[in-house]
Amino acid sequence: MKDSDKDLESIEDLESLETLEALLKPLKRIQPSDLELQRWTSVARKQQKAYLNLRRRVSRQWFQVAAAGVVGFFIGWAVFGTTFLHKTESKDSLTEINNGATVEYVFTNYR
Amino acid sequence: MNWEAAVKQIGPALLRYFMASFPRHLSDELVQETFIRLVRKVESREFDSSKGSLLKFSYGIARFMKLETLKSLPHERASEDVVFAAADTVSKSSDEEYETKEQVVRLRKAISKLPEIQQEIIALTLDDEMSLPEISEILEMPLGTIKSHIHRAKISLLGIMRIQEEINEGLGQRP
Repeated sequence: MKDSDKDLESIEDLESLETLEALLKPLKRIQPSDLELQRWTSVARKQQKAYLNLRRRVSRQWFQVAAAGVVGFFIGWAVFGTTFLHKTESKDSLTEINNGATVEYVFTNYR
Repeated sequence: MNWEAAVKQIGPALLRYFMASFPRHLSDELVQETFIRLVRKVESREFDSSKGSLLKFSYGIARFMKLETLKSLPHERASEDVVFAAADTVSKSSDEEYETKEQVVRLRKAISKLPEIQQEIIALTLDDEMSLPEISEILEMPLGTIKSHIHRAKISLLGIMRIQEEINEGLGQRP
């Protein structure tokens, strides 16, 4: 594109915008009233406050869940800690018993 | 965030944006609803200032709200004259004010006859702080396309308004 064409295009753009601006003047002149501005501000503030409260409540609830989990773990460890240890120790004997039961099952069904 | 300052900066622009398509009472409600959504998004950190201004971000929400309203209230535009005319009769304080309101209604009627994308561009150009490159970013369109739409919209608007004037004059001359 030639420079002169570009210039012409930018002049046309400018003219388009100027004419459009003149056309749209009544809409451009519209301003909100003080009452409207006040209402929007109070709505925005209320919404912000509500959101902060919600966030605080949700984080408090998460904290409660985490705290309950930690406390539950320690209680569980105190009560069942030794039992867990016992089960691990007797794992082999449990397997043996199971093996015996399997053999017995096969045997009773044998004819 | 200081919402009082934000409302003062963004509120008037949003009101004009909505008023390009809807009557004042509805535009007022839509601005309010836009602020509610805007606050929620800003507080939940969905707004990233490095990607653009708050005004640009709020136009994104406003656009969505406008489409939502046009879908849910398709007759709102058709009934606007009745609503506006009724409001004007009540609040007509001076001739000048009445004339401006009438001009706004006529203008909105003419804008509503344009293709959807041109309506959107016109609504965005109502904000003096919004540059053409910014409009092209919001609408995700090349700058050249925006310019040509503006040019076509201007021609169409002039034509529509001329026809409207002729019709009004014709009606006025009728005995």
